[in-house]
Amino acid sequence: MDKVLKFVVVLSVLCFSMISQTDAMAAGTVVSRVRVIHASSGPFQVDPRLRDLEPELRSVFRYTSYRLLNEQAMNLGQNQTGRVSIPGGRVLELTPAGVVNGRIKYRISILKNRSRVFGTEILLLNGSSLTIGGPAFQNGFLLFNISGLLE
Amino acid sequence: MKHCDNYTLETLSCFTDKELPPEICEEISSHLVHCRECRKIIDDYTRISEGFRRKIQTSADSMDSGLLATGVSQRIKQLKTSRFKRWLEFFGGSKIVLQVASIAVIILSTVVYYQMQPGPIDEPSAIVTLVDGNASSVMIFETQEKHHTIIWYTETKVAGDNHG
Repeated sequence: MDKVLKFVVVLSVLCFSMISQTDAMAAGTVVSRVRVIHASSGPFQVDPRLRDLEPELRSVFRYTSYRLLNEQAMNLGQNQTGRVSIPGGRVLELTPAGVVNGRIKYRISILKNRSRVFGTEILLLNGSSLTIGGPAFQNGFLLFNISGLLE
Repeated sequence: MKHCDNYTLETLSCFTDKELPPEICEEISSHLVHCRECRKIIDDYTRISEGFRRKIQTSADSMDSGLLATGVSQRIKQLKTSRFKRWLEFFGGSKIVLQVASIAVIILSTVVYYQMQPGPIDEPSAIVTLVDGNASSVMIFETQEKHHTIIWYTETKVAGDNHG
């Protein structure tokens, strides 16, 4: 019984130290990057900075042109909001709101003329990205690629 | 000990041990032919040296080198075992408990390592838990290859909205 008790104590200490280590990491800042992309059916053109994303977008959309309009990286603390100006008088607001099951919880809002046109909460895989699209702009559409990495 | 003044006792001792340069050895050898006192000293020193050498040789011969090697390796093994035993005693003296603990540590380390790594690609890059706002429609896609999540929303047209 004594052996089992000792074993359980050692294991618990190990588990606790490892879990607290991941928690400490989760409490850190989140390196967030927003890429504003213009997708259209114009002449074939893909911005070299979008090479990583292009195959994914092509598998869903039929656009022939992907231009990077703006790219912004932010170091955001928990519940700290980062803002990115996007064409058409829009603003994208991005707020990391903790870590759930190893994923970064983000609150994302898109405002137009100070009015919230779209809002979402997502759980993003650490080191991964998602794309939000929809607003029409200059014979095409705007896409927002948002990536996050726990630091 | 009485001896002639030509050479010191130390020089004669060095001569006995063959520690002097050849020319001095030759000079002393020539001197010994005529000097009885120095010869006596040299004889005494030679006897002492030989006796000492014989004693060492006898001790070394009586020693079993194989046994000595075995003894040393056994002692090293004992030291190693005692260190291992101290570890083992901490876990109640059972090897199985130690083995289980080691496996548990390896599994835990692996789990933590993979948790810290950027996510695997066999699940959606993002899970959408909430959607709100004034969008007239929202669609969620997931690409086949990399499971990249795409959210597509359609903005509600507002009066006076002219540039998309």
